[in-house]
Parts: sequence; C-alpha cells; structure tokens
Amino acid sequence: MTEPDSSLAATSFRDPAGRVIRKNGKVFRQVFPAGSRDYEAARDSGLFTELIKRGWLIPHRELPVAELNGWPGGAAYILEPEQLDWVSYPYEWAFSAYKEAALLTLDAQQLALEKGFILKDASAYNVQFWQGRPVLIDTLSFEPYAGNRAWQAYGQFCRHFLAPLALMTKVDIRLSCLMRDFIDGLPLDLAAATLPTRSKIRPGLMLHLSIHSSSQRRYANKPVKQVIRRDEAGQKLARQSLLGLTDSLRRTVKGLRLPRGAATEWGKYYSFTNYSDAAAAHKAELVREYTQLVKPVEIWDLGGNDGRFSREALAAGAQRALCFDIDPLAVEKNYRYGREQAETALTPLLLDATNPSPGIGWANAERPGLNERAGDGKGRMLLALAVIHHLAISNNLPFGHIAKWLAGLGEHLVIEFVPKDDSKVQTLLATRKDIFDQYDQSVFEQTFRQYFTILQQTSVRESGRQMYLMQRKRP
Amino acid sequence: MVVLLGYIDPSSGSLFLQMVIGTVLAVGYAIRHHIAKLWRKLTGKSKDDV
Repeated sequence: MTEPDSSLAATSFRDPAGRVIRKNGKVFRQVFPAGSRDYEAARDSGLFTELIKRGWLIPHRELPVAELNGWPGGAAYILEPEQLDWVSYPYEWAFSAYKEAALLTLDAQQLALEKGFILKDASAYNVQFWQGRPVLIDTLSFEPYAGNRAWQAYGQFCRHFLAPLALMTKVDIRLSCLMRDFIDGLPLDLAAATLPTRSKIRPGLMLHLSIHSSSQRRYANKPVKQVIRRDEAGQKLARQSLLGLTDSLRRTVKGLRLPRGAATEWGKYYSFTNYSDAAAAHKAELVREYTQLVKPVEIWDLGGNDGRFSREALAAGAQRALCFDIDPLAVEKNYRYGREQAETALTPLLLDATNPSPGIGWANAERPGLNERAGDGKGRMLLALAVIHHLAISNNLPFGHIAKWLAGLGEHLVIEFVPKDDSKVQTLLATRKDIFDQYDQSVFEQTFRQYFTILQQTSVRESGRQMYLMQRKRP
Repeated sequence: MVVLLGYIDPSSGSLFLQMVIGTVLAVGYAIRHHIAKLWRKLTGKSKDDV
C-alpha cells in the first residue's frame, strides 16, 4: 500500500478532530485521537445512521483496525466515504442548490439536537452535491450538545448561507460571487448594509442579519463572559431555544425566493436561437454520435445553458456531466429541471469561462480553482457548442488562447464553429468595429490543430455552422 | 457609517443575540410544534403538505 499523499493538506487543516487525506487515489477522513470521543459518541448514538438513511450525510465505512498504522498524525479511525466525482463551491452553485444546502444544514442541526448533538460548524463548504442532491461531507462536524450553550456556528451559518441567499434574492442573483472574496462567508454588516430597506424589515432577515450585525458590532471583541454577565437570565440556553433558533432560520431561508419573472441574458436562450428545428436536431444527433464514439466518463459542457446537450451526451452513454454556464438563471433552470426529474448524473454550475473560479483561501490553495480541479482531464470530453464566437468576438480572445485552455481541461473536444456571416455573430458585431480578420474557419482549424487532432468534421444541417470532434495531442 | 473591521471578533455578539432571542424563539417553536401536531391529528396531513 502506498503512503498517504499530502495533496489535500492544503484544503483540510483547520479541524483538530481530523482531516481529509488521499491514499491510493481515494479520499479518506482521518479521525485524530483528539476527535475520537465525539466521533464515537455520534456513531454509537445512531446519529450517523439516521443522517445517512435520510440522505443528508455522505455514507462512509470505518477501515479495520489493522489498517490504522502509518497515517501521519496518528489515526483513531480512518473513514472511507463514498467518493465524490467533483467538488464545487458555493459561488458556483445555482440559487436553489445553495438554498437546499442551507436547509440541509439546518435539518441536520435539528436532527442532531433531537439526538443530543450539535453542529460545531456550519460552513457552506461542508456541503457537496452527490448524485444530484446536496449532502454533508464533514462527518466530524457533530459533537455532543452539553446543554445550556449557545450555537457556536450561528454566526457562521448566517455568513455562509443566509447573507448570500438574502442578497441573491433581494438585490441581485449574481451576488453569490461575493463568496469568492469572503472565504468565511459574507460579513453581516456588509449584507445588512446592502439589503434594501423593505427587505430589512422582514422579521427573519431583520433578526438574523440586521440585529445580528448590530449585536456583533456592539459586543465585538468583548470576552464572552463579560457579554453574558449583562444578561444572567439568558445565560442558560436550553435545547428548546436552539430548536427555536434553527426553526426560525429555516423559515427565513425557506421564504427566500427569486423574484417572479426574473430574466437574464441567457435564461430563455433556446427560445431565441437562430437555428431551425432540423439544425438543432442534427446538432443533438452529432453530440450523441461523438459521445458513442469517444465513450467519455465525464462531460464538461461549457456554456451548456439549460443542459440540453449534456443530457444528449448522458443519454448516449457518458457517466456524468458538469454543465457550466455564465448565466445564473440558466443554471437555476437547469438545476430545478434536474431535481424535478430526479437526475443523478448532471451537475449544473456557474462559470464565466473568461474568468474561471480561482484558487482562494490560505495560500490560494484552500479552495482550488477550476483549472486545478480539472486534473489531467483524462476520460473527459468537453462540449463547447455555440461558444467560440462569444469568447473570440465578445471577449477578444485569440483562438490560440482558447485552444490551449481547452486542451488543458479534457482529452476530447466537441466544438461548434459559428461563421462570421451567422446572424448571432452579426449581432455581436453590430455595435462594434469588426477587428476580427482572424475570425475565420481556416484560421480556427489551423490554430486548433496545434493542440488537437481533428477526428471528425460535419456541417450542421440548414446552418453554416460546423461541428468538430477533436482529440488533444500529447504534450 | 459604522464599519465592522476585519480584525474584530464578532462572535460575542452572535452568542449574546442567541441568549436574548432564545426564549422567544423557544416559545414560538413550541406553539408551532403543538399546532402542527394537532393539525396532523385532525387531518392526517403534515402542514408542509398543504
């Protein structure tokens, strides 16, 4: 057996009870001796069994005692969780995905309280999307509830979940991007100051954001004992109070909804395409054909909008798909559809291809950027359909830059070339000077050949567009 | 405008607020919990189903 590697050390180092570690290509959770008592208590109480049964916690198994030697830092237990195919972060989630993650955290807190435990942290990074739904991944987040103690993670829950969700619904759905700047959640004073007045007077938001922020400001840097002495009567915080707090947060989060009729750039994209039904059907047919030929494990659909072509690839045999789009409403629509259909293989995520998620947190490595998470791209087929003109013309990206980036992400590429005389390109050029002499099919092919081998090329029926299947060249 | 600076630890305020609102939320929760129970008894449905 090989030694554990330290590639996850940069992402899991804050919890003295344990950490995540990789060995033999698998991810394990190492329980340090310091965390063993809480872990055993939660396990023996049946809390984990119940959470897993409800689909709220990622299932895991304990490795046998014989396999506990040789783990750096010592191991009281080693847990082997179900392996995640992909790790995503709150600033990449659809609004409904984010909201479900918040409700899951509160549901888990309520169940834990009922069983005499409590969540010791409420980080949005403790939630991942697995088999199409959110699950808690940090098994060591639970500790026995000693009674008469406040919820230490209340502030964190409000920063990680309530504040961003409130801003997304009451100000602008795009504000989840603030989570990229604030790794421990949005400061409550910032959220309270940004909310419109009419939202601040909603009881839940007033209490958990505005008054909470004022309380933080008033008692900032005062030792807890000094704060408590001011209100001796309130010192004893019974379990019932925490259930009340959890319930109040739950009702507040549940009440956060996107405005009706919210429409953004791409939300209705497929209603406004310029191709005929025959062209769209042919494009879908080509995606299926290429998928059957390549047999990829994973699809990355860049600019995948509502996921139509990701689903074609899944139907043709791909095991899973990540469908990225720049538009939060398209991602939302895709996520809701997937949930309605109980899909398990498709994960819609928010991504601006011209500015992909960077590495953030300690040493810019705590939450790796998209390119790092992409790994070597083996077994992955990229779909870049009707995207090239947005990158090359709207964003002035040379073909060489685009080809190089795509070659770093996946082994195979299905890409649609949209010619300059296409009405969509003409729309992009209508308000700007045409400085794109190099935007030409032959230049496109010549440039992409530096990084890829073109395996197939087909003209899309009733359209001037071209579809290519490419395989990246070995470096 | 008062700005909460990054180097100030705001956790005391979060704990204090919970103590202040704890009893009120506990009473509210208990009442809702009992109403929901009664509703289930009378209709056989959870309030969330309605």
